[in-house]
Amino acid sequence: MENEVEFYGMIAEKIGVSKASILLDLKEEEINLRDMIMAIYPELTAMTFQIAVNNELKESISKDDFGKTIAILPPFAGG
Amino acid sequence: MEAKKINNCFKDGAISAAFIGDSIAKHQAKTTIGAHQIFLGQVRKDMINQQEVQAIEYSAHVEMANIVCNEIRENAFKEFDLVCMHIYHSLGIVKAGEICLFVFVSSKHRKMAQKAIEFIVEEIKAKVPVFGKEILEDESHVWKVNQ
Repeated sequence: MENEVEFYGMIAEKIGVSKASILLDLKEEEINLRDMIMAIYPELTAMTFQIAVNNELKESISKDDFGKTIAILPPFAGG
Repeated sequence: MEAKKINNCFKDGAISAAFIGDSIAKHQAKTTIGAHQIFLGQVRKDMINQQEVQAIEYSAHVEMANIVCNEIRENAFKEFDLVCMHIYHSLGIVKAGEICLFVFVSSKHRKMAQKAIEFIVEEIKAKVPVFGKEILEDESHVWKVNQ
């Protein structure tokens, strides 16, 4: 199943896109999102980011999360 | 089950002094309040790469940011004895000297409001997914990161 991935701020600027779809490997029980994102976008390896799945911060994704929106969030700068 | 109402904490552009003044005026009807605390975040004209910051362009993961702001709000109400509280954050361009964050906390007595506002502002800075692009004189930019 495909998951939508949204990229924000300096992360979107770095990779040149703000949205993408990724195909997750259903064979795995749990997928480490950080490893997966850095494998697809190696230019993010040196960058600091957090990951949210349907608005909740998470580092891994399981079968229950397939179809949910993944957000790649650079450091916050509110206020 | 009725879906929980999520307030929108964002405003397009700078938060005006008139808006802040109106918010204060509206609270005159709430006569159980004895103390207000207001925090205003203002865009600083920092020097970066020998250039002055002209403005910050704010963007956000709006849906998540509103959920997080509502969680902060709920936690503040649990933790402190508050009458009401409001959070407004700018989206888009805010020029140096303009207001980008307005937090307004009201309680019966000053100490609760003082403690609450510190908690709320720190939580906003740490947890709300807002991103800021500092725009310099030559229109180049640097991404802001909260300390």
